[in-house]
Amino acid sequence: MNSCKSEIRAGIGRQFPDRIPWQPHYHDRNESIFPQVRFKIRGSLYLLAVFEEMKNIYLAPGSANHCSTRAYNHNTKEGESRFQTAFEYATVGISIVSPEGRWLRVNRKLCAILGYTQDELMALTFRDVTYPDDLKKDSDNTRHLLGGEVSTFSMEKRYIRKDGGVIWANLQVSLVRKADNTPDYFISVIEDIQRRKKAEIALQESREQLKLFIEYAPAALAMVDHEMRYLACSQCWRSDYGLHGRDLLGVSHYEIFPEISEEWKAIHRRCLAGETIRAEEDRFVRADGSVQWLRWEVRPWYQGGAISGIAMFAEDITSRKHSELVLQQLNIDLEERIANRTAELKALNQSLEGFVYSVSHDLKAPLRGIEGYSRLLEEDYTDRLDDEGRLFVRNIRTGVRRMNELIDDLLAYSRMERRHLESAVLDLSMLVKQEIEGFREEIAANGVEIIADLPPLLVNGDRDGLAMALRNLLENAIKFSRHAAHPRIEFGFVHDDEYITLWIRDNGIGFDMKYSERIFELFERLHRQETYPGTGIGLALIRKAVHRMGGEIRAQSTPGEGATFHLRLPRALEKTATVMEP
Amino acid sequence: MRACPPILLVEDNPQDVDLTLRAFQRRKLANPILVAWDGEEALAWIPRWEAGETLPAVILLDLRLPRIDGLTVLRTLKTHAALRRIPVVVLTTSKEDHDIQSAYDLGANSYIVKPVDFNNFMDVAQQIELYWCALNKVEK
Repeated sequence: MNSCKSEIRAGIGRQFPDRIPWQPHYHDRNESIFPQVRFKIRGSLYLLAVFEEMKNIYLAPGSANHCSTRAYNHNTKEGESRFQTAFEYATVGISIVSPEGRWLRVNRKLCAILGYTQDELMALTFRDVTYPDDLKKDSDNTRHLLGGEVSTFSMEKRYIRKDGGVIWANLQVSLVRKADNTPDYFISVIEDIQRRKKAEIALQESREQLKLFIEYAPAALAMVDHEMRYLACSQCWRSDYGLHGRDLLGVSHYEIFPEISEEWKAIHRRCLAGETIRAEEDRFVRADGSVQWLRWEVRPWYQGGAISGIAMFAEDITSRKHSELVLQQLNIDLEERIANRTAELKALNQSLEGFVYSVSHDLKAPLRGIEGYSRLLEEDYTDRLDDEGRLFVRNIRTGVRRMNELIDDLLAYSRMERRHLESAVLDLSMLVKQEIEGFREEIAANGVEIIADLPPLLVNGDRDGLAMALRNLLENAIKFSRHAAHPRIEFGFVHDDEYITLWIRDNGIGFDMKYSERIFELFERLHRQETYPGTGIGLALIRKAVHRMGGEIRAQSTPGEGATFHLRLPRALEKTATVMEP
Repeated sequence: MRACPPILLVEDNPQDVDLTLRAFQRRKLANPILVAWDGEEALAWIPRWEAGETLPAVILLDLRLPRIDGLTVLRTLKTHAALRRIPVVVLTTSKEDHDIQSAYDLGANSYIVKPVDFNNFMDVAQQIELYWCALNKVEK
């Protein structure tokens, strides 16, 4: 044992010239002198001792100044088993490896880290379980160790688990040499650092992402520290401020922009004190005199609850602002034009009103004179006129009557054009009944058969306008069917979702369809005054009224077979629904 | 029996005035007819009425008048504390809603559209005489 002791002592002295982190340590106070290595696992110091040809391995917490194997009597069976247990159940992977790389001893933790059973792992070399990319570095380190250039090395490397998974580990290796200085075995401590490494990688990735995010943000962004020194900025920021190619990191904002205004400095100070300041649109006059509009925001950023600097954001909205201003100007122009046009129309309307006023007041006065005096002439001077003279007077009075009718109808037409329409829900069938009632005498006198069996037909329209239209249509139907053998006027309807079309059919003289549009024009007449008197305004008046109510009127006829007029009006939908319910 | 109060006809058209006089004449109207040929002449009656002259039984007022139009005459009369009860019948040619509404808004007692037909006009004259001169008792 003693000879062994001195051998070991000499070996250790050679093997562990460095004291950190592998500190060779031995003492013989109680005759237990064995090579010991100290190493750090997660910041704590541990002692590892291997003795009796690796049959016993000792692992214990230790300190730099005091470590001892005294408490463990290696000569007792109990001591051996305790050392063994410590090795086996250590919270780090520990292995003894031959100079060729074969595993000689592996503990349970290492098996757990790599996912093999002890037997399986013992059949492999460290190369078999090393991630290919890390093999060279590992081999180099091992070669340096064997060559005596270093007494120990430590590296972070990846292992391939039995299940194919790759894990990161921290490897610490030391070489124990024999008495003749030839390599005896490696002691390797393998610590699983997968979680730490993953967190490191994730952090690195998120830093990269953030950097990319800022770099390529489609807005001018910059982050500065408490001293206004750049930490990051976007490409937009560089291009917007003409800072291409300049390395801004660590440089003060004020150094880059020495001419910056006190106003901005005040804003920076306020934000560094915790405020967030922004402007939706801010006008700047650049050095070259051009105007720039910016939307900007400055806000503090925090680290650990304290303000660490400010983030600055600016967006050049000059083109948008320009468009807005152009649009605004266009709107102003448009409004002006509308106002002018409205004024023109108003003036036009006023002159029209004035015209109508004159017509209604002045045109009839002379007519009244002609009528009145020709009447007086006829009554008071009848004995002094011969037959021809009396015929002349009668003709004068007929002309006056016609002129009177024309003026009346023309004024009615003009009123229809100008008057404000009251839109109401009206029952067409009710209006038809009322108008028929109004013509009762004519109907009876001409022996007209009326067929008007209509259900309630609710439409949106103007009551007076619609009554006028129905009155005129009925009047026409009576007038033009007067000479039929059995005059008959029939009302009917069709409807769809939007419109109700009322039709009124007579069996009168009808008309040629080539006139179907012309008859609705002002003063258009198809017959001579003597046969069918009229002013030629009635249908034009109807169409004007119906159009103004959002409706349509059209006519259909075959000469000699009567005419049908279709009056289409917007249906009053809601009310119709309630009417349809019982 | 007191003397019949007059009728004031405010009318600028001589033919209309003549025909109106003839129509009333033919209907054997008892009331004398005074004529004001424009709005100014019509308003010139006000001081005379204020001075105690017999008030007209009815004023027949045309709207289209030289110098001062009929609606102004109407407004002046109907806002006059003492004279606002004199019946004013607007007798005019216009059928325009605007004219009718304005006349009634200003306090016209009636609005009659002058018929072109002379026989109809004589009927109107008779109705005016019956209603406004014979039946209608104006407060004195």
